[in-house]
Amino acid sequence: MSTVTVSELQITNLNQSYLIQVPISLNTSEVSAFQQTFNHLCKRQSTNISIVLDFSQTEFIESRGIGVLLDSVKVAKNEGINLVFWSVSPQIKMQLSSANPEFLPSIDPGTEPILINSKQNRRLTQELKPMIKLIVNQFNLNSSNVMGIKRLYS
Amino acid sequence: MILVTVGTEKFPFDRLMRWLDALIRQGFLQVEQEDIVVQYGTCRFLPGGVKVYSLLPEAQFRQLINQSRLIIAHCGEGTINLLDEISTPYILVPRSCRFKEHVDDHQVELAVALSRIGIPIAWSPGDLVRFLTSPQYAPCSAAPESKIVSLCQRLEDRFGRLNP
Repeated sequence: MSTVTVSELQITNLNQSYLIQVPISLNTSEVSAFQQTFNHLCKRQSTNISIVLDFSQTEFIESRGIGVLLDSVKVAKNEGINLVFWSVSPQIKMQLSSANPEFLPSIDPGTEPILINSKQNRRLTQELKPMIKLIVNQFNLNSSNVMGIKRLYS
Repeated sequence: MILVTVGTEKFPFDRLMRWLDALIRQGFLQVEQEDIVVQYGTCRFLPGGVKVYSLLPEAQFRQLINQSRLIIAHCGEGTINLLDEISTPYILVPRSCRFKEHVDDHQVELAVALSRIGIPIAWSPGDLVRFLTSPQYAPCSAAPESKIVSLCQRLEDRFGRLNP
């Protein structure tokens, strides 16, 4: 089991299953690295493995990225590899499905993330309640401290 | 053994159960190789191949915690307090109001705060996979009483006393 970063792509290997973190933006500068890494992974593996593309951080996919993803689906099919898409946001799902319905069977609907993207994460962080912001930012406390304070106030 | 707990909330946390099911289906969790014990509360969907308990008596729950290699838990205060007492690696999954897993997003807010101090949080099933490859215990040492009293005084000065 391992987690490695290849060409800015984080790849996690556990029990002969692979998880590839898809970049925040799958644009022109990212697709080549993604395609090379994916194809290399498919070619050097035996069949009966799973590759999961984790879209939990992905906010935007350029048209070239859509093309590369479609190629990935075909390569996986030809190599007998189980390819699954996880944590696809509604926007990305719409983009994928309108580009090509072949994507839909690859999307696992039971893997929706809590925060769809980093933009929402940032917004939520900015909206933290004042008391928690004080505790974490100004006093650099850990979870025990937070619980202790809540107990004292309850 | 891996222990999964969703606490005793009245709201189901089916999303976490579906994440676990996805991990099992893709082979990241292998129920044939390692026991996965799930305390599922009011969940209506359960992953296949795991041992399930709706609720557990405290003694049995503590025994399971002590036997676990790692723990996946909802981001509830009571559960975090319990996890602070042991040194088993754990990851927290916050319940979200959006998915009707709680009345509000206080668990998400707490998770954001805890993530800033290095506590592992799963925002997606991918985070669970990454945690499984290198589970590490995030220590939470107890705060000195003087530090808490001092902080409470400053909070009171700013916001006033909550329970006069």
